[in-house]
Amino acid sequence: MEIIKKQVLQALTTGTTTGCTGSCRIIIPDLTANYFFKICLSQETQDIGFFDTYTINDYGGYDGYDGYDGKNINNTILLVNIEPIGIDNLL
Amino acid sequence: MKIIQSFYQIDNKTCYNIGGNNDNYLLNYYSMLLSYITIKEKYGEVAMYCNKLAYDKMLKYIPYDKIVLDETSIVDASNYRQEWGMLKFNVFSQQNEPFIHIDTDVFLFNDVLSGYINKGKYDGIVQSIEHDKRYGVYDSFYHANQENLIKYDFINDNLMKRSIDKYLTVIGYNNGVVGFNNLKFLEEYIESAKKLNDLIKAGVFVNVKNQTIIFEQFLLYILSQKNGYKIFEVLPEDDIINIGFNETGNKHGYTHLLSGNKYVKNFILLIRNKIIQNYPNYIKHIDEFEKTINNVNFTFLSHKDENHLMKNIVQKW
Repeated sequence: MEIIKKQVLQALTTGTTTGCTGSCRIIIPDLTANYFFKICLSQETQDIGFFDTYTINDYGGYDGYDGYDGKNINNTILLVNIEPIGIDNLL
Repeated sequence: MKIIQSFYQIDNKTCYNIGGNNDNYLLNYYSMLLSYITIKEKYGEVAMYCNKLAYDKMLKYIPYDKIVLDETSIVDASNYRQEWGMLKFNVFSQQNEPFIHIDTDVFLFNDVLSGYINKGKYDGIVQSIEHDKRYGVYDSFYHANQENLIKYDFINDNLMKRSIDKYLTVIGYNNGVVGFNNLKFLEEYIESAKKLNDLIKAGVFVNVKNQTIIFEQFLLYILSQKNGYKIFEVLPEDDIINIGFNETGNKHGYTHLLSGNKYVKNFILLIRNKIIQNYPNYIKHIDEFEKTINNVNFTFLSHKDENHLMKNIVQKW
């Protein structure tokens, strides 16, 4: 929450006075004046990235029926797709 | 709480089809040993259910607290690739008290089970929610079989739709850790798994990309959802959603080298080094096992993100 302060100069009006010749008027405070504030909000945009909805991080998935995705030309290196869980604990 | 593991070796098969004729099943030894060590340290006793081939080749070099030798014919070489998960149900059907089954490729570096064991308010326990966006094992099965899943009373479809709205995909439970306080729930699970597997084999259900995943993991999710059973998830759903599976495991001291990960050479070396450095009392078991390894044909695997994963590990080190 933010506190907004605004200094307001009192509105003045005129009144009559005595003790002078002719038509004399003085300036006096206007105690009945109403003050109205209009607050206009302006937006400052900040890019905080793309909001994903409620999804689960991708798991990599089961490796299908054959159990592997690929192998090298010697048929010796097979690639495992499925993500291990907690691999850093093996350190 | 009774903690069990199981391993049945059928010929030289592995649950991950490496292709060709090789001895890769022997590589399971390293994850089995580390799995046993970490569970033993935290929870005291581990019982292993196995067949003789698995025992003779690997398990006798691990000091389990109890061995239950069990020859079964429900899965053989002809249906192993599709139905290997039925071996687990064979073990489940032998249980008559609450238990937790932990896969032999799961390592518990922290006490992640006491929230389930001590509170006693849960019907069962699983590792976590799971989905498979890459191949759509869960999605394609559900969408292709929605009517039959309702017809054969496997799902409450309104709850399924709510779940899909929430996760934006069809999910199941990963059973790296799975257990039951509620034995009625266990009985229903075993019966439903047999029924679903039989219907799959009869061709009633289609788009079955991974048969075991469907009758084991998808089934556990839809059954507990339909019957309102309360499930404890070892890996919190919010963490999985926010930081992903691997980092959630890192955060909670829980490792699961699921599928082909346990045949990745660098990962095996990490396991072996971990045992040697952190659990030196078990080095003698590795020595005994490795003396038996002669003239073997190993086909080591690589992980598609191996450079990234290993770099992360080295940086933390």
